[in-house]
Amino acid sequence: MNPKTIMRSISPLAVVALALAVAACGSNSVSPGREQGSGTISIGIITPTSGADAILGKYVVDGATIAVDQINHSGGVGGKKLKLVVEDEKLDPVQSVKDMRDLNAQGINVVYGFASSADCLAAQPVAKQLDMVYLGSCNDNSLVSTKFDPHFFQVAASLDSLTNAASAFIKSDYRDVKNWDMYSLDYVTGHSQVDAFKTSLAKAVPGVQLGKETYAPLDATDVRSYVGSIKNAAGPAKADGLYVFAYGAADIAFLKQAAQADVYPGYAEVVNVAGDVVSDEGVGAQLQPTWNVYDYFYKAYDNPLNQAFAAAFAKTYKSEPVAWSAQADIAMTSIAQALKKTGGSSSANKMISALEGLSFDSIKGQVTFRPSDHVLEQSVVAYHCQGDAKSSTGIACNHWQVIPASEVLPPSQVQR
Amino acid sequence: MSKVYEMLPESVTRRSATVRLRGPRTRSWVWRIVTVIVVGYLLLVVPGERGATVFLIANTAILALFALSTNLLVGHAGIVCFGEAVFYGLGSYAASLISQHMALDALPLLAAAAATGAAAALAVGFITVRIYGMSLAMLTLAIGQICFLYFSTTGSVGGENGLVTLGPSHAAGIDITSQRHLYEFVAVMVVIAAAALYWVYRSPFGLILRVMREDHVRLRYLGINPAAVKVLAFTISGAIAGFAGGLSTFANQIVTPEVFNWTNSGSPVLMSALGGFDSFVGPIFGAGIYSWLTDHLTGGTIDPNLVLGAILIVVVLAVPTGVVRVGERVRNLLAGYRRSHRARRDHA
Amino acid sequence: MSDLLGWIANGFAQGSMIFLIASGLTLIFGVMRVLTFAHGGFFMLGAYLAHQLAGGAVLSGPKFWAVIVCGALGVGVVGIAAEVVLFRRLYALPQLYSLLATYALLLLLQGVATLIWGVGTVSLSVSTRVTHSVSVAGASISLYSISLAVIGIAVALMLSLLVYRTSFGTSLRATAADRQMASVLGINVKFVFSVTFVLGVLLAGLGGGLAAQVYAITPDLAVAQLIQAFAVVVIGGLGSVWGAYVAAIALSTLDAYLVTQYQHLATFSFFAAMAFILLLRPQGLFGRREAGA
Repeated sequence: MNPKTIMRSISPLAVVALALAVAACGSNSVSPGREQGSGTISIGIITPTSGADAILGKYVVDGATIAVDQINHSGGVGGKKLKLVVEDEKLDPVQSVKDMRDLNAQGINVVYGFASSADCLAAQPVAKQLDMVYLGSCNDNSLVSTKFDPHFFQVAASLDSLTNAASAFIKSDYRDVKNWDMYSLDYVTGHSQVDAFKTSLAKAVPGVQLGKETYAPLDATDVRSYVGSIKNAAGPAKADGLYVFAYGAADIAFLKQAAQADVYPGYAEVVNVAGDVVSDEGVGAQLQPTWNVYDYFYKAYDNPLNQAFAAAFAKTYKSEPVAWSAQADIAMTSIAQALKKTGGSSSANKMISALEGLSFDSIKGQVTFRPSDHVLEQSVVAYHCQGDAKSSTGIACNHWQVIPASEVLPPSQVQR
Repeated sequence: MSKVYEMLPESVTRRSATVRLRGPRTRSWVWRIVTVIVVGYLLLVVPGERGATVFLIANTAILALFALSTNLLVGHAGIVCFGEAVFYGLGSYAASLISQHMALDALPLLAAAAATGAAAALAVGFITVRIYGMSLAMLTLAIGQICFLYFSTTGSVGGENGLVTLGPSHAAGIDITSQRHLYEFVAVMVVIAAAALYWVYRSPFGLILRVMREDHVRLRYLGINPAAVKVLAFTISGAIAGFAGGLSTFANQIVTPEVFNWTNSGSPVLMSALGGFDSFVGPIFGAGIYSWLTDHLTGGTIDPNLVLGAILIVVVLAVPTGVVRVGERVRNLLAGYRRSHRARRDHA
Repeated sequence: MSDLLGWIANGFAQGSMIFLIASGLTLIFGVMRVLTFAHGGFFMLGAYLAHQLAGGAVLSGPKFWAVIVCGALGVGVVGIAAEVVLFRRLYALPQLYSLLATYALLLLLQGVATLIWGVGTVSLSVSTRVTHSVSVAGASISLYSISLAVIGIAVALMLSLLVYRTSFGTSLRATAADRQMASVLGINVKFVFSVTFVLGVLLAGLGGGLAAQVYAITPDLAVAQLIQAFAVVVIGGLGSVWGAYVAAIALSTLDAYLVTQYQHLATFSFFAAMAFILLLRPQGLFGRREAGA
């Protein structure tokens, strides 16, 4: 065999050997093995730390970190400290599942996070199979009705709660706005949300008229045509209201382009369900006055727990906490309380029975995990923001209204 | 025609060497050993590993199969199709939808997935039969986006959340509900499908495909209808892609419309390029590298895009013929260096 | 009537935005035969640089345009670096490799943006003097949309003048037709390549600055309009500037029209139109059919 053939033969062998070595190293490097029972209890966090929604992931991790720090400061759980293990889900349900398995391989049984409902749905079979408990900020209604599974606990206010809150808010503050136009995104949840709003508003404000519905494509960055069609639909100035269901970049695009197209002057009020401070800050000083309806607003909860939380958050991260951080805090608090009840065991069965019906003090006041469908009974807040060039964040939010749980909670759709 | 030409690696189009119509060069005994090692690793070693690793390897294997099926069109036949994600996604959705209504054995489900992929590919191949080059690439991309939009907005197929299905409980009567058995089933299926593709590669049809990428006008002179070849190539590629999609549904138990997005359509082409277009095993290596990179780049303080982008640029510039041919590339570089050194010395 | 003007204005505004990306793409392809995904990255950079230069202030008219132009120039500088370091090596490689390398560059640019400006969304604010609505024949149209439409047509005209009426344009067309022959005839092909590239990047950066106002400024902006820009380039005919302009305006206007009339079709319209046109005329509206293709 001449040198050429040897050379030709070696390269594929070398590549394969390298690949196998790498795979072997890869599988060993991922985890140090079980950690429970060694003085710390690890809790997994699966959240997008990279990609389009990395900012949300950051808020989640920050909120959870503050919560865990505070819990550890006051003694931890039965003497043991809590520790967070964060995995990136990249907004991909398949990656979420991989992360669940990864965490499970490290001996972690309790996980929080999941930015989108697709992730929570994808995690269901894995949680069942690996006997894990997961709490999520996914707010899809099916997770607590048709697709309910006892391994999941919903920490965010469900979409139905938000819709009911919007209707209750309109009933109390804008009863004389007689016609509401609606704008949402063209996907299944977008449509179902608008339908839910129509039903709920008709009940809350009898005689109200439901006007034009506009649905923009889910991923569109340029929605000016859709904004234009809303503008044409708006009646005489200040006679109508506009209901918006959008979040993230789609929300920002809408708010910016609506401001520019002078849509706002045609409406008495614009109510943005699922809009939050993060989107508003993304719009900046050109944000027109808008009411957001969402889980949390840091100024709205005047109890010592929230004050301590917001202060610690501001001190560490130089910004105010948002709903995503608040949800993380509430989740961590509930997990710690449940662990105290189970005596430190994080086995799924024990955690599930500890969490069901658990009523505890949180930054949003007293909240309870409803035993039948694992929905967190909590209030929703409507808060008003508008652009302010002088503010460091570009916006100013100076009005708010907390709508209590009793007015927003939909009845349980799970019989157990 | 020149557009097809321009799209291909120089190593393929150079006229000086004889066109490698005989298939891979004579290193068959080396490759046989390599194959045995890899298959053995997949089937014997991996099932004993931790759940997370098994899951990762299963996904990498499926990805490798997907890349192989794409490379049949892109690398071997020279047809730049960005629509493979359509065939993969449709196969995936088919397996998911059918198993929601009927409790079928895994094998008929996979057959259905493959058939769906094949049917879609047949349709696409048929209507694009006279289109080549960038136009074909963009057209298949557009079809992918249309599928993405349709599946995102239609509730009956799960909408934007996709479909979650528990995997089939039996495969040819054997129970596959446990993680280990499911993995072994997936691995065996991947190896069989890859072997089938290899058989196509070494067959007379594979030969014709490679001639087609060189010069499809000449095919006509030889009495072969390039349109028929193209459609058949599409169908085979689509069948395997659909098959891989079905396997993905079993392994991950979820399929979402994201599978049709244009960023996913590009990834099998990327993997084939990484590994090497003109070899059979190139895509497998490409898939392995890509999978490893994306798995290990998450959760770090540096944005994964930065690292992935940098690595890809380096690979494409330094080893354009693909990682598999890195030995040859190094040798060429060395030979070139030696030649210029000699020239300088002689003319000094 | 006012409806009609409304959707025409939106179509032109949207189309001009896409055209600013597409024009550079089509020029670069025509001359260098490189199809670059990285253009989206330069578009995104233009938006970020505009935000950076604005410094959080609410910009008035003249200052806004100054910031946009300076941002575009900044992106041009980055473009020069990219050309020297990366693109020069891609000219000799087959197209598929340039697709992949430029996609990698796109990822790199996104990563750099995240590194510098963080993962959150940043914003650019302008005073309402720039963006308020004006009344045109009974329709209320955003002044910004009109500005975009004007810029779009101005750029198309300027590029057309450059390519067909200047000596540089002649060199450009010669290089595009046959680069070896052009080089033999004494045209500095490297210079033509570099200038074409930087010109394309400047336009993308300008587009990004203009978009900063209307879209959310995140690293995702790099892929936001990219696929539409590619579609428009291929539909218009690779290498044809007017083809890109006509395709951009036509498709965007169709989209805008459908939104007002048949909204559920509008989502699919762009890509359906793209597929339809490519099936009927694969070389694009103004493209040339290559021999034997």
